[in-house]
Amino acid sequence: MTDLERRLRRLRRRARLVRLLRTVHGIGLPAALAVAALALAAVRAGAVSWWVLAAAALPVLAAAGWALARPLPLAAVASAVDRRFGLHDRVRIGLELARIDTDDPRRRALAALAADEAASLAASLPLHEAYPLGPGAPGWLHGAGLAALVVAALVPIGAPAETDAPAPAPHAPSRPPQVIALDLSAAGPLRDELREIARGEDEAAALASKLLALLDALERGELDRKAALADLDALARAIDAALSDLEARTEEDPALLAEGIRRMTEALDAHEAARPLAEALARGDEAAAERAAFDPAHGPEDDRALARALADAARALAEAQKARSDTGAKLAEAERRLRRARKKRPNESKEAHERRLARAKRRVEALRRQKAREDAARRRLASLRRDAARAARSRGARRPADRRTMARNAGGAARTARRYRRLSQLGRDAEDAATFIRRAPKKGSRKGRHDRRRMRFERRARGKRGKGRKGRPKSTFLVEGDVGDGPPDAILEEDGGGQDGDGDPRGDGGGTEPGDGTEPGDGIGHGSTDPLGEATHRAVSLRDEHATPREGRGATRAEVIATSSQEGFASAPYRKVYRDYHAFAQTALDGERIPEPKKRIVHRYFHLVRPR
Amino acid sequence: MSTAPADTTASTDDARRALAELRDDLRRLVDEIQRVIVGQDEVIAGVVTCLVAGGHGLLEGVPGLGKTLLVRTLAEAVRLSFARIQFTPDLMPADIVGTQVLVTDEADRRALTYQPGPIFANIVLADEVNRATPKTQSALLEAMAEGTVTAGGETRPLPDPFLVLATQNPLEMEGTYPLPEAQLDRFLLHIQVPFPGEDDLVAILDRTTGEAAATVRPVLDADRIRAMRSWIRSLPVAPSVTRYVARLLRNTHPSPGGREPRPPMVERYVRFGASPRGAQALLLAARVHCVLDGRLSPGADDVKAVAHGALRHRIILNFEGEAEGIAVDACIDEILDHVAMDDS
Repeated sequence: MTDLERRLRRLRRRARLVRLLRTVHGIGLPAALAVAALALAAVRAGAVSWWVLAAAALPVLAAAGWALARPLPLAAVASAVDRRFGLHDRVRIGLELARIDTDDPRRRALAALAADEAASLAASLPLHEAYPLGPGAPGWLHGAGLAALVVAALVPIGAPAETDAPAPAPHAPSRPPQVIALDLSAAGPLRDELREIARGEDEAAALASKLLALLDALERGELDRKAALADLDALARAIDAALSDLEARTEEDPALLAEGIRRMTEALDAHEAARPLAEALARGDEAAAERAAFDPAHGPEDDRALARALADAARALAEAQKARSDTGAKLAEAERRLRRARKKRPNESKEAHERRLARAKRRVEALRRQKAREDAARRRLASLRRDAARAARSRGARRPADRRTMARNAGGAARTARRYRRLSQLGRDAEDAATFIRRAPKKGSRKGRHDRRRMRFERRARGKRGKGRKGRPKSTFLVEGDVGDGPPDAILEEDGGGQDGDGDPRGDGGGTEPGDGTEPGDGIGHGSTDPLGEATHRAVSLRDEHATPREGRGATRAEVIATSSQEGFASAPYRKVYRDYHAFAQTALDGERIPEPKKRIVHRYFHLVRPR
Repeated sequence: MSTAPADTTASTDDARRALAELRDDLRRLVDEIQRVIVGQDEVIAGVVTCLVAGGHGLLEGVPGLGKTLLVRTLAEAVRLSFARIQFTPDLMPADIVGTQVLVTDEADRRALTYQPGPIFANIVLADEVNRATPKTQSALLEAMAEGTVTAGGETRPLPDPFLVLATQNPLEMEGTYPLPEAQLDRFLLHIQVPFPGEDDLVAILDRTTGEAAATVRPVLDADRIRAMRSWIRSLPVAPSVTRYVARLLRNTHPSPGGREPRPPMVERYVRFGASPRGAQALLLAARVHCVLDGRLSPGADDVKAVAHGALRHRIILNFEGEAEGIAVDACIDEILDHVAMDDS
């Protein structure tokens, strides 16, 4: 046995211990918590005895047994050492080449050299670092197990006692009229987004918390719809003010900057080694970005991977920098309009001309400012791109400084971009909230407005409540004699379920009960026997006629939209078309029984295609 | 502390010294080329790999990226004969391998004498190889495979070392004859020449538009290259690495009947994978890579580093892959992610 093998065998014992700890911690413990939660719930409910709680030890024992029973080859231990210290498989290869048997003296000498090198590497490195002792950080499984345990501990002991509701006092004081709460259950995804925004500590988080509180108050019935819409309007103005403030304090166009940072983080996120940096930039955390950009503990392989990621990020920034906007074209058009506006139109008053000129000047000024901000944002992106490219290329002693500079600059831009992104998102959420508030049905009424409308239509279609004013509902009369071509003894039963019709209740022929209504009847009715009678054998020539239904623009909104979608919407502005589509989809979502996750998909879609 | 038997100590020292010289020579060669060629580190490494591994290289890139200059610089840096053949549609096989011409001697006697073609050089640059007809391409590729040329009923050996570096342009495909897969397989590496970055472009402009042109001095000769090739082939390879290469190669093929797990992209988009020659190329190139990186035996990282160059011209996409514009490199990336070295 070579010295290298001896060292690796010693390390293998430690590796087994580490694996045991990790398996028990990672698999055994969450499973034990889950079993304990189930057992505790069953015990508290009185279904089983206390000793069942001992079953929680079984997953731990099973995990430990499995960890110990699995083989751990020396090659795997050697590979772990190589990975830990970035040795490019040198220890693993040395281990294998030490056992190689060859007749070629040159190859034998080279194999011995490789084995020697591996042995000296193993002797010089702290091998135990390849398998650090410790169970590792708790994961979401542990959290879920603990939560299950807490929930189980809350299960009431024994059978839950049924408490009768207290009978109302015979002369209870009358309560003041309450505002009826709205049903905002469909706003679940919107609330999730708002909670996400409310997690931060900036003004977006504060405004999101207020918006959430407003929705909660509305749902609890503490606010009525009108007051909620007024509060929401105030919140929307506050969001707009915050956005304007951000734009006023930032030299660059935040939208363009945000897009560049998004592309950069996406490019970084595609590389495993750069993921911490991408996450830090996504959070706008400069300090974390600096730490992630250069970690002295990284091996050369990680360093190279990070350099590749940074090169990709530089490319992504270059693309973002080149992204076109239509501000230049708009500015040119506005300047043309301004030149035209300088000329006074015939029959135009002096005041009207001055107003028109001032409006055109304001427009030009605004577009110039926007253009300057976009140019500034592009310069900033170019600077970030140069930083990223330099950080990707730099070697030796300059590398830490270059990478930290890159991370610091990118972190600063990311913070601005994140602030803008969060405020913009909040603005869109406020619009969504307004839509929900306007459309939400009242709590307790199972059907919303659209449901009620649909049900009314269905009732009419079934003819359950016809509108013949003076017909006799649910009347049955006998007709003697010939009714059309039918048999003479046909019995017609009329149950009042027909549509408004032209039926003549007087019958046709010499009936003994001609009916007493002189007004149009209540419906067509259906006979208890065949009202059409038998075939007459009359000679007729039959011919099939096919009627082609008219397609395209029809009476309903759905038909209009379907036709428009086929013909294209070039003539209508996107913002209007979007509103139509969104309103139509919202009507369908409100009126139909659609599973909640599918509704969420539709909401998400409209959120993504929203005009900006 | 040595793990080698005592009787190998002397040869171990020799091997250590020889490997150090090999590494130094390779680095000097790369440095010399980099005096003329700006950037393109991976392309230079690929060309040097072909030279030392004894294989041929196919360089692909748009015009003007310095492919021809790179090959010429390599020839100057290794003190070997160099010939350039510009492939055109009317180029004939005899234009490459040579032909017999009627010669009158001083005694006024006439005799057929063999006039060698440009292929009789140590380093041959086959420029725009896909512009010649398949017949002419075959003449070159046969010489590449056999190392000999048969003309006038006589077989003549080509000089040793013999290295063909062919170039092709991926953009202008009209009027070209793309190399068939069987012939592509004869190239050790398919090297893609990328467009230089901004800084590299600035350095190129500085270096090429001034008065002083960089000069190259020869650092190696034919004997040294032959010795280097011998050492490279002597490098021991761990059995697990050989097995890893074999598993990589098998994973370039779609599974027959879906019985074995394969990367999804390979199952969906690949018609045929690489041949066993691909595995040979992979291992040889990995050996050179490990020496360039200062190691004694190739590992999985060396194999991964050369996998794209060694496999990208050997994997044939199916219709779906072609239609969807799938890049072979993406398939190779997935294969590399999918296959790991065996721990047993």
